[in-house]
Amino acid sequence: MGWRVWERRKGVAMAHDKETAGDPVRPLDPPPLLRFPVQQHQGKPAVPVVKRGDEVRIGTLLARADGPISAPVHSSVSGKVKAIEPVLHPWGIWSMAIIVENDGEDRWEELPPGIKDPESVSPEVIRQRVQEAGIVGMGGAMFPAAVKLAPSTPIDTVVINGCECEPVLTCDHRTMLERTDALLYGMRAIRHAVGAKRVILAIEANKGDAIRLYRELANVYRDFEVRALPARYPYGGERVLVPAVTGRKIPPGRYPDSVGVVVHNVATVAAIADALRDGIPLIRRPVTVAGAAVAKPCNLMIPIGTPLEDVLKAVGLRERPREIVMGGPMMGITVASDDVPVIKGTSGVLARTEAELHHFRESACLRCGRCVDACPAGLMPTMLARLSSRGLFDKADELGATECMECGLCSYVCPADLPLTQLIRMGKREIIKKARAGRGA
Amino acid sequence: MAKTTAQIVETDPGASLLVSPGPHIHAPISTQSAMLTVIASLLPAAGVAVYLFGWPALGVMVASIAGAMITEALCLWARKRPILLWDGSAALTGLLLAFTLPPQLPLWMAFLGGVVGIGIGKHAFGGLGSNPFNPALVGRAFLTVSFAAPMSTWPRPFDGVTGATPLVEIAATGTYSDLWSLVTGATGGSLGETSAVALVVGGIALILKGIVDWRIPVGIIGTTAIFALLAGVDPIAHVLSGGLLLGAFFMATDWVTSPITRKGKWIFAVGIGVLTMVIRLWAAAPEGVSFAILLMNGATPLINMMTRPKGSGKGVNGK
Repeated sequence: MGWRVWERRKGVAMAHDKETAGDPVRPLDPPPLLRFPVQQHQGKPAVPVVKRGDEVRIGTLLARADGPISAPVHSSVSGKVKAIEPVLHPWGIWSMAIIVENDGEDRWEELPPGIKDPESVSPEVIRQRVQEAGIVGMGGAMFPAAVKLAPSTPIDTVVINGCECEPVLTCDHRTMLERTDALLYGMRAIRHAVGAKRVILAIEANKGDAIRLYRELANVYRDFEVRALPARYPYGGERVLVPAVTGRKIPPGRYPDSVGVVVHNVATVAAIADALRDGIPLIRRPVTVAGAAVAKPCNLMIPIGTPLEDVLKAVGLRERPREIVMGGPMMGITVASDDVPVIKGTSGVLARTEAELHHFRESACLRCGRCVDACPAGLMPTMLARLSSRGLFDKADELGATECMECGLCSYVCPADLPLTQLIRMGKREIIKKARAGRGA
Repeated sequence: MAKTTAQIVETDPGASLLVSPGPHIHAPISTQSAMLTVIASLLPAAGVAVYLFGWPALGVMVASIAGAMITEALCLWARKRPILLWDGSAALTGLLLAFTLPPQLPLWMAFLGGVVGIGIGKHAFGGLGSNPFNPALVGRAFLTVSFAAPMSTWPRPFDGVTGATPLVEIAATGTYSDLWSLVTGATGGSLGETSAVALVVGGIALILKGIVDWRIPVGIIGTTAIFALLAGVDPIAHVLSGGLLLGAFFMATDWVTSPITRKGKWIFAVGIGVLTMVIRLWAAAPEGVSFAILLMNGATPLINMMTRPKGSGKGVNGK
């Protein structure tokens, strides 16, 4: 792979390796056994409402939301609840999960009636339907979408994130090309729900077909704008995206709503449209399956709860993967086992071979400053990493360690092969832990 | 640095999947690739040096590189560190040092320069990444003060007859009668510094490769030219002569000894340009580039501290 790095504006231009960009999303048949973790969102875990032996259908509620910052979980197949037990979760934790045996009959639960025009109902109805559909941020953050539709501060701009700045991943790109109706509907619904004046669809310049398509649509409908952004990582990160699109900088420790902006990923927008227009809860999502171990990289519409083992079996493996990354190669996380299921935030499944891996072989920092140039948060990664590794967390905090968005660029560009992001992440955790303890005291 | 965070944890022996924190990919650059690229970018100027000054020039380069690499190996061995000569850093120091030496310097002196540059300039301070001063320039400074006569004997290209370098004429008259010779390099001077065209070609290649930050060479050359204009001397002669281009593209841009922030790089570069011209115009020595760089190397930790980006400047537990 020929990675090239050169500096201009924020972040770094890197090889995109988006070889599946021309590959339409095909549905994946659900496997015989699915695992639905109750934690597929940020916030409190959902509470199971079914018990062992219960019959479920496609769309049946398996676990209800627990409080406002939570999200329910629905079955993506019809069949029987086999067990409710802890399973290995993508985050490397054990999470309670509802295990469903698929009867293969594809019977659907009775769905709530569809809403033809999102502007014909009140914002409250939209929020409630999105909440009940269990929709979370599908770019990977998995923050409950309904919370972002009920802003506590006035919102004037909705930014729809179609950047997909992570290399390899193309599922958002395909969603934009294939689900035009859903996106137009979803954008309208979100704008109505938050009462915003403007909707801006942000797309990185490497997706020319999507930019052209939506520019034409914007000329027809005139209720949203399209903004092409440089194809540089990490333009899809909120803290880079929002200033680039709106010119408003998000203060440290705050979220886009503090500057009157709400950001939704394109896959989330499509899911919101499915929930409102057709009453379908979030039970499947587009996923890019790639990596050198995969025989033929592709985009699949995968039922939530499908174990990775079944995904990889379906696409065919060329060789045994050495590492499986969920998400993109920059910010994705490795999973400890292929038992782990696809969850609502899974944008990619990368089955990688030894030849693809990068092992950090730390050598002396040469103070070249490449990490400083690359850092989209304007920090000094080499210094923060050194402070973190020496346990000098207070000093790292003073130098803004908590403003790090963990995009991974400092590690990516480091010629001395230092795991800078990894060290800063560790320091950040310690600082936040201390801050919490301080508040508690 | 701590070894724990990047450690790879083996779990699930059945699947034997690796679990490691992201990012999971890396840019195609390493310390070694960077060093070797810099060495490659110096080869045009090295070729010109051999063409102009003959085999003695090649001998000086070989002796200086040998001194640097042997000392590197001995120091790493004595410090019980892995002997990583193939990272190319010692070879680069040796080559850069040779570029600053007279082409007919006795070989043992060139060798000794390499020994001092690496031994005192680099390992005495903790080795790769820890040295405050450019090791090649430390070696040259040592040779300049120890062997004043051989270090100021400048053979003419092709015939080897010794004479004054263009800097002497420039110092006297403020300009130079044969600017074209400064571009091609067919003039007296240090082994690798004479050919402007070879140095600029190599330097631009490094900028395009992303190894050298353009701010430093542009800052140094720009400051020197502006200073010369204001002082009423010929800016073109001052930029093209002596070690200015070699220093601007290859010495001052040393990663370890230059500031890490963009703002810091500008301050550093302007400082070098000003000091170079002050030495050239008003000090006893005709040339000042290497001392200007060493002085600004010394100021680098301070510049880094002054220009340190702090994020918002207040942490979550902040004061």
